Amino acid sequence: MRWQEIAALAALLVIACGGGSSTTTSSAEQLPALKNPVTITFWHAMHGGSQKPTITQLADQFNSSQSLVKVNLVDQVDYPTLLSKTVASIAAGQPPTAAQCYTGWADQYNKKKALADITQFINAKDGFSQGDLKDFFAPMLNDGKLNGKQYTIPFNKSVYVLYYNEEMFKEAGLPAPPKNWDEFVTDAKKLATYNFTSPQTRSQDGKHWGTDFSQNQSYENLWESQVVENGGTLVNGDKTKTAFNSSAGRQSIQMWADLVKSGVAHRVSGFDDEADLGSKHIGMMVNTIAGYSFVKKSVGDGFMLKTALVPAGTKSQGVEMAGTNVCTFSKATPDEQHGAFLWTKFLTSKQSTELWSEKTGYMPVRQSAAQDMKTTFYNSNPDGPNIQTAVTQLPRAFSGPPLAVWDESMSDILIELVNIVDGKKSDSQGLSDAAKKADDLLANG
Amino acid sequence: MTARRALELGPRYLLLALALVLFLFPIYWMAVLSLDAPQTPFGLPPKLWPDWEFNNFASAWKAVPWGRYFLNTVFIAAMYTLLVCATSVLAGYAFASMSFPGKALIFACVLGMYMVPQEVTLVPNYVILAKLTWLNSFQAQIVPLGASIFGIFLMRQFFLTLPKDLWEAAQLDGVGHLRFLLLIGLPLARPALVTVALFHLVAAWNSFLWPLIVTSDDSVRPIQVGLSSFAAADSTQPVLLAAGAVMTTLPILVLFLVAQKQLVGGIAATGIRG
Repeated sequence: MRWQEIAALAALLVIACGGGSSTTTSSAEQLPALKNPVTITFWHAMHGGSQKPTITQLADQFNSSQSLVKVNLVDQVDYPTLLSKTVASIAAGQPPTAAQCYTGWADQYNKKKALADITQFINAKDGFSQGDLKDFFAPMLNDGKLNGKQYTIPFNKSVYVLYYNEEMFKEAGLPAPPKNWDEFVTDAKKLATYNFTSPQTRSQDGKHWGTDFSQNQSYENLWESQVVENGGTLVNGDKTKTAFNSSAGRQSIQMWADLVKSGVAHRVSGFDDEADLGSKHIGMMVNTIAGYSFVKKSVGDGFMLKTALVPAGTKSQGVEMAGTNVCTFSKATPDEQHGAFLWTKFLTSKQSTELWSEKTGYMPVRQSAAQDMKTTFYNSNPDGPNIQTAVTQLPRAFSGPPLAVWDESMSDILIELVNIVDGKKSDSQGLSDAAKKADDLLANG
Repeated sequence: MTARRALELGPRYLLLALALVLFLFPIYWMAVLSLDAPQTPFGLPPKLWPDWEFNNFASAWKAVPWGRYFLNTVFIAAMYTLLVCATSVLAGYAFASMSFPGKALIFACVLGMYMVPQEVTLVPNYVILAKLTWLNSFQAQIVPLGASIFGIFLMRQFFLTLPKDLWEAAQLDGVGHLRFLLLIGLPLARPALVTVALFHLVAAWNSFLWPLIVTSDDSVRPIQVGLSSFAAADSTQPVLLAAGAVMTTLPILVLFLVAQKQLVGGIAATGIRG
């Protein structure tokens, strides 16, 4: 039997077993709609920029729109804190009802049997309809699956985009943003050496570079994308060993090492790349669309901020998807889990995801929302075209390896990438050391 | 000063001056950056002269509830320091002056605990607090850290230096251990106790990881967690972050400078060197 046939049979089986249409007649298996009032806790890390006011606005809307479920938001400030506290709370047997989680985290929680199986809620009377499920962008919904089963629902998803100062490009004689990494290098050199004079292009202290390389997890993710764009892979087929110490891996990081060594790229840390772009110290950078509200704040009225597609590699153009999903924990009562699902359903509804996207820059998770935003936002709001770039890029987005240990591996890989960029190790030595650490983690979990 | 003396002292002072620059430079850099123009880039080489933008402090102050963080921290640090002093004095005295079975072994175990990093005990401690429903509270930031190995060790070393005659004389007057400790031992132990208090006050002020894990909202968060929360909210403005860092560092820096003499004196009184 060919795999297409197996998949088709599996799909039929799912539908036959009450595959989740609230419009279909309820089968004996179908969970009724939630009846008992519950209070749920949602842990998140949407702390900066416009993120916290927007998620608070959504929670208020949800709480006032119905009386069955009351959601209490708990701001855990940032992702590392959210992860540490969730892991600790699982160990203590007191996790929240639901939380934001990356797929790797979800895998980690699932191995501890801490995740709730939300299939029954998806299929419940007040669950998702088939139309709802089809409306989600497929790569995003698939990112929430573990072993083929939907454990999490996409919420704040983003992809990388190229941010650039259009005025600096124009003054330096660059008609358009770079389309591939070769052009990126050429343009960065031009921007670094050009003598800018206008207020929109000249930094306060007169210093400038073409672009930035920051010791920040985003640059590790970007390198992962470049590896794939240059024809490489991150892990082997059965996900038991790394495969990034290849010519594609070396070529991708050596590009950054050369840019830093020649003074074309400013080597910074954390989110200083966003500050550098805002203060006209660099002409362009690649970062996630999730940072749009931060970059915008940094730029202010300084110049015309633009976004473009991430440059293509030698083999393809692709970007790694970032951002988290919503997961529900099994420790909660079935009614609380059901309530958490209804909150997730609201959070990812067309109206909510549209509002979330417009305010924060994250991508809408539903196609209908993106379609709607074409008329309501992308073409009418000054930030619309910039935010739309991410959605345009979505068909080429892919997810990182959905492995529990990949997060830890990424930290180790970043350290070695920085060693290479700083000239402390050769590309082959650095990647070999990174591969060794990541392989150990993959083997010993 | 003779030429020979100058030759002898010169390299020492040069070395000390270098060490001084090395230690003071990060603080100076932070101070300069906090007074820079809003769009100054953060990077190398560092800018050595500020633009005197005092508005940065006003902007940073408005961004998060610093007042609340300061009050929380003062309360937590004071309670924590009191608790550590109490446990250090009692345990230090017991290890120095009392005889009980297995004393050496218990003391070795206590010292052994000093080698266990905080990260190892993070999750077990969190689990205990969760069972006690103490998460997101002040006591969660005070009680679990209320016994300090360093404090116990320092107080023990001090009590070991007290002449045995004092205890024997007190015994003749019918004084028990607790009364002796309160009326005679403790007043004599003031220099060491002040050192223990100062060390732990500074530690409480700088405490980050544990409060980060056990707190969930601003009503109980201390200043370092507040600073991290501010950093997450305003990541694109290094000058504001530096202004926030100056605000959180300054009180404890002043306290340290004022109490430096007591700190050194206290350690010297215990007979511990370098």
